[in-house]
Amino acid sequence: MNLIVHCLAPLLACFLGDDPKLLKDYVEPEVGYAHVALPFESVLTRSELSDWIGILDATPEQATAIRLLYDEFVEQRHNPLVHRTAVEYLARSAAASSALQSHGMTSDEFRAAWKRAEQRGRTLIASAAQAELQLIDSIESIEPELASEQIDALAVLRGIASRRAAHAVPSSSRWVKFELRQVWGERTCPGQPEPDRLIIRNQLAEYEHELTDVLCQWSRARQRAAWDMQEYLFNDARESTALDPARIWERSAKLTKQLRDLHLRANEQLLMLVDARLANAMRLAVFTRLYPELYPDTAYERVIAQLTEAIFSAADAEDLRGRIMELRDEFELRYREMSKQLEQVCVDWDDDVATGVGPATSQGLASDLPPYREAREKLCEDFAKRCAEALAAQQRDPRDSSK
Amino acid sequence: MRADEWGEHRYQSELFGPPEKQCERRLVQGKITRFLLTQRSARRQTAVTTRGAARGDAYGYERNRILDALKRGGSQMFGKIEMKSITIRTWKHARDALHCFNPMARAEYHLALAGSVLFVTLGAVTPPEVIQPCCCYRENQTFACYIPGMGASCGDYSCPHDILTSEPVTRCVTASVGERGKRNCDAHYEVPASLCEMLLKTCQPTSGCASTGIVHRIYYANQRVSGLGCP
Repeated sequence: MNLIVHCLAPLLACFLGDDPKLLKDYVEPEVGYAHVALPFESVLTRSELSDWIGILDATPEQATAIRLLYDEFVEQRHNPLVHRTAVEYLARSAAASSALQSHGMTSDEFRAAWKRAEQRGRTLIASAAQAELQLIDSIESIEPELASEQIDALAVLRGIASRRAAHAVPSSSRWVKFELRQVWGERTCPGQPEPDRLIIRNQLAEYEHELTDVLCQWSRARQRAAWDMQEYLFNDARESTALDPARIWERSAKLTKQLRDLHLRANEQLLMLVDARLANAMRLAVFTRLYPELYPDTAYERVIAQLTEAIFSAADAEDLRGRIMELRDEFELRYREMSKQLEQVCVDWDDDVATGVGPATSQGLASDLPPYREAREKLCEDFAKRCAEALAAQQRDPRDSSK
Repeated sequence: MRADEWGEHRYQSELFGPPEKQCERRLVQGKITRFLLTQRSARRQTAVTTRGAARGDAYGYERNRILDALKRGGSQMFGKIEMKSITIRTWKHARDALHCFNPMARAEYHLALAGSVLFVTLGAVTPPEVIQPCCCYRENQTFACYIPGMGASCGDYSCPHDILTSEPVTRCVTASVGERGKRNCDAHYEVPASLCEMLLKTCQPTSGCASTGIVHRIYYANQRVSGLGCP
């Protein structure tokens, strides 16, 4: 009976509990809003709460207690806060947008309206983060009591809450938006032995600790840069410019690169913890998230499938089999090289966007990539053709290739 | 003149005074567009002189010149355009607003004006609602921009905004009579919408374009046909 209640609890909660409110639930259509950072843009969801329960490795009883705390958090803290403040914040934000459009970016009117909206937004982001951190604090004292390793795991949840607040500053950068937990999280790596899972979990926690720090720095740098940029534009319009836009955006651009290095380095470390087959799958999963423009590549998968099939079919013709295996190795090598070049194009583009003063826009990458992608497609076609030719030659004269 | 040549129309500061600081296009409530320009230096603006007939006599004549030029420029950019009204509060920046709006018209319009802000209200403009800086700056030259759609474009010197989100979304709205939502979301209805979110860029003297750090968002009540939020 207890088990049924525990299994049904999250399901019932979905139907009975209030959904957490977001800023978008209060916006007026067709009205422009100017922001620097957006309060109530994201909130802890029920689905994410299930991940939290997984991170804590909570017992069913503990999970029920956590879900009850969550309902209380939504109904008594988060939703009333949003309901009380969102409309007023949006009015300020819309006023800033209106002043921007009717008086111009360097006007006194916009400066005043934007300041009012920006300060209020910052306070609300801090309040929302505080409410979430209070929820985490209250989890610490649930019944049945948390074990010491579960209490340690609360640091992971606090990190997630802090990063949510940092993500209130919108960005087009893949390096800012990405987190390895999206791929290496609790629901992935099934079948891994428990000791390995524990090592992965610890490695992930270590990475996230650093990530939280860098991301919060990035968020602050970005907000600071937006403010300095307004100062620059305002003063420049009055001919007393002391700031330089390139320098204003320098710090956040540098932190974006730092985030990229961190993601890639931590991913390599995680890949070393799993067997080769899983490592390949996880690398692809991470790169699919990081470079959706490049992966998954169906052309590559098709050629690999064709070469693998050819190797099997040439089981009796050792010479041909050897040649096709060489062909596969050559293909893999050249494909990897070409993909690295493509990844570099994306990275360079991202860096240009992050400088804040370059002509590149995030949407522009889509039109810049096709020539490079075509070269990779051509490579796949060539190898598919070479594989087919090798098989055809074998069929024409089987003695040439068989022993 | 071809559209790709427009970026080559350099601002003639010796003739027209200091370069415009920014020029923005606005559409209010999806139907009304305003053009506004603020100038770099008010002090230097006062030095701009009028020529031709006495200022009072020139008002009506200049007003019609601006209207005609805007109509021509607007038609080129937006297709059919209907001029609803034109309100010239002061004359200070009328010329620059016109130049920002359409370099082609600028070339034809040479009379310097001494006023403050020009508001032009246009009706039935499609597609609407994008804030666009439309002046670009490089190597001490200001370039007027051609606006083909998203962002401002003047050849190599363009400052298009950085699109953060342009996609269909859903929003919870209060239920009202006749409203059809897909599913109930806490006593409200979830309705399809689309979101256009842009990180605004502006032109600036040292490197041409700069991110402002300001994110501009508009939710549209209904999902657009293209499925994208940004027009």
